[in-house]
Amino acid sequence: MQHTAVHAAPRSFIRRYIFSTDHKVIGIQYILLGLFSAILGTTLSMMMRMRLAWPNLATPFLAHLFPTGFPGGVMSPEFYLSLLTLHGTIMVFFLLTTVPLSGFGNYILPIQLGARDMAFPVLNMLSFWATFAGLMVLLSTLFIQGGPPISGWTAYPPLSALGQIAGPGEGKGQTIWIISIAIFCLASLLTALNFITTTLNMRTRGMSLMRMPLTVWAWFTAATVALLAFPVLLGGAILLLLDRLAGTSFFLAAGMVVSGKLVPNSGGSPILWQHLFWFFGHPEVYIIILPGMGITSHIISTFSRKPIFAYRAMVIATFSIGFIGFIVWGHHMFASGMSPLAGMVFSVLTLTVGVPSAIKVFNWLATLWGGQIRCTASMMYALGFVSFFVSGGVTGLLLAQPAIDVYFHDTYFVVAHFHMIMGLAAVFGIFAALQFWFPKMFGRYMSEGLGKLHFWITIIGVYSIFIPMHFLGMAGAPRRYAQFTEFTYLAKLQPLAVHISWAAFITGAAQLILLFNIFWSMRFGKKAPANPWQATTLEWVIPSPPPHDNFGDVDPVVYRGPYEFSVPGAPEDFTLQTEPTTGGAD
Amino acid sequence: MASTIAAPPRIALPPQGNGGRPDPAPHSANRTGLILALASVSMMFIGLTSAYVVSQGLNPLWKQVHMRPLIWIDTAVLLFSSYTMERARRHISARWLIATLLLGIAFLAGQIGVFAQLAQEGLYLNTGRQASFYYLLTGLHGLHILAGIFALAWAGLRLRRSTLDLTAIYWHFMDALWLYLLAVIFV
Repeated sequence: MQHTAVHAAPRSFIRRYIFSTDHKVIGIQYILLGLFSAILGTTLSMMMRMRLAWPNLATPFLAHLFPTGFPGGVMSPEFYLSLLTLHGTIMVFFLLTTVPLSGFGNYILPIQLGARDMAFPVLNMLSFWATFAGLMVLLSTLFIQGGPPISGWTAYPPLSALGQIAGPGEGKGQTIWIISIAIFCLASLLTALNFITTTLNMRTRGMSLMRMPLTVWAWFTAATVALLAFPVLLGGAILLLLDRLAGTSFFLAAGMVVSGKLVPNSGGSPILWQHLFWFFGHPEVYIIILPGMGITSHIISTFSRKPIFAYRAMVIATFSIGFIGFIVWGHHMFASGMSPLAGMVFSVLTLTVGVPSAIKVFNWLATLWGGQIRCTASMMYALGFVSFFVSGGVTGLLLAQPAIDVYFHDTYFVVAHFHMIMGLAAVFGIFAALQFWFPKMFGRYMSEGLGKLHFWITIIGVYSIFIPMHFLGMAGAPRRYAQFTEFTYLAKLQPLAVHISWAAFITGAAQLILLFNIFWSMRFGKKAPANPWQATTLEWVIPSPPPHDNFGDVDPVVYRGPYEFSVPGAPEDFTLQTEPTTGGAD
Repeated sequence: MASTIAAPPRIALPPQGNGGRPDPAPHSANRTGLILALASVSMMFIGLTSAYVVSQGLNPLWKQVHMRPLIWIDTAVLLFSSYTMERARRHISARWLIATLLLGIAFLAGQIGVFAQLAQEGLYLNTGRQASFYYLLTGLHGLHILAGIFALAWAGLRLRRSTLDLTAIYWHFMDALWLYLLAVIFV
């Protein structure tokens, strides 16, 4: 049965590591791109925290780098806004969308399905390089006249549609931002298409849908959501671009006076953009969080040595979250003056998301219950995910109610809410996935000790940042302002802002532990066997790191469900999916 | 570890997937991919036409672009091209394929003709929002037709059943999309 591999690994450096069509190389490329984005996005947020805590601090070094952004050595409010815009855009698109879905999904999904590659490997390569181009286009705004845009990652018109007169960075910077997002949309569409096709068409023998690991279900659902949500953003981006470049009035109303000048446009509605944007934007947060849920389910089951509690309910909950995500976008717009009836409908639908979410949390806890828990670093990160998912989700139930939201809208309460549920929960999902699959990717373990140290500093640090931020929001501190010292009612809270900044600096610095752990372990980590965690799914059947065509000549055959831990009568406490069943019936 | 992979199935398993066969992607994967791509194209047009309908509700003086003979002729050309496409697909015929391609080019020429008529009436991309939407929606549809023309040329070079099948799905879809756009704009 042994004959040469179906397609040999390419030899040249460029075909092998740069323009590779191997899903594993592309997965790592996405993860490295995300790592770069994370470092950049975190640095930007540290600069913002600096401005918020000490508004008059002179920073000669930064003033030297960005002379226009730091008149007199102190960061200008406009520069603060451009940092805010870049931080949001980079983190949401190029880290949180890119790494959990495109990064780990690319590496793991085909292997977990028993396929040799994605359905469309060349398209996969193009998606990555388009994403890369999107990031580079975005970063180019740092170095053009006027600087980066200042209208946030949501780019609300009229500010974002007016052009130069709306402020520095709203000229070319905003145009380039839209182009970058359009490129990212196309790249994400192609990735989503590839993921769905791979899941539907490339499963190996015996890998029925209900034998797929929950990670695959999560990626599949997230990709489906991405396929249907990103085109709407792309459409909106085209309209916004036309408003800016061709003089149309899709989002611009009549009679606006900006910077002392009457704007010639008429008839448009800025609210229209909010509808188009949030029709994409809300599913987008589920694109971000669903892979983390899958990874958490996978890891909690593995390290509790128990089958995941209620697999079928988990699958249904995953799909429900993806589906309901499409009909709740209005809850971002309660303050836009929508009718009370529409507000109530969106409110009730939003609260409904709590049901599948609660099912998931319940099932995670039930999986842990009575399990033989192995407290590995990746398990701790996964539990950190659950923690943030709950503490960030609870405030979501508050914000889903229009009467409360009208007060909280555009305060730090919302900032704290979405950083916990979407930002940090997803980031902990990334941490967990990295620690868990690192031995598979590089054949070496990451350091458990450093991982746990990083976990504890980060989780305590994150709570020290974001719990006080809720209080800031309840006191009425508005988002997107560069400083609060001008408001008497917020002056007393300045020490809290300083506390948050210090917590952020310490948490940010702790990420160096993770960076060190990654690069040190790649070279010097303990060597890992093929199945270091005694897990059950297909990626653990093949060597670490996997060969170019994953399974060699012989496709794996799947006989079992994905989480057969502690099966009574089995020789070990885990049973691989490829282990033939002994009875006649399945 | 190899033993766990190589074991032949001892029990009858439901036929699932396609055995993880590697690239080139199997025929059915191409089909799945195309259908997904069309779903995504649909979402973009659903988003934009929703924006159209909402904007229409906001403006009392909305109607600018009126139905004209050239649009009817163009629609007939596109509908007829779906017929020729179907002939080409069923008979794997290069001649019918070339006819489809020429009809596609004729359709695009007609669209540009409509744009020219509108410009003569003083309706440009930035003169009022119905005109803006008309240019945008039909322009984006035209770009998709252009992509379809390239696909037809490619299918003509290969002239295989599987390629023709996929090209036909795409072409008929763009035909249906055109009828949908007409209904949104003029009904």
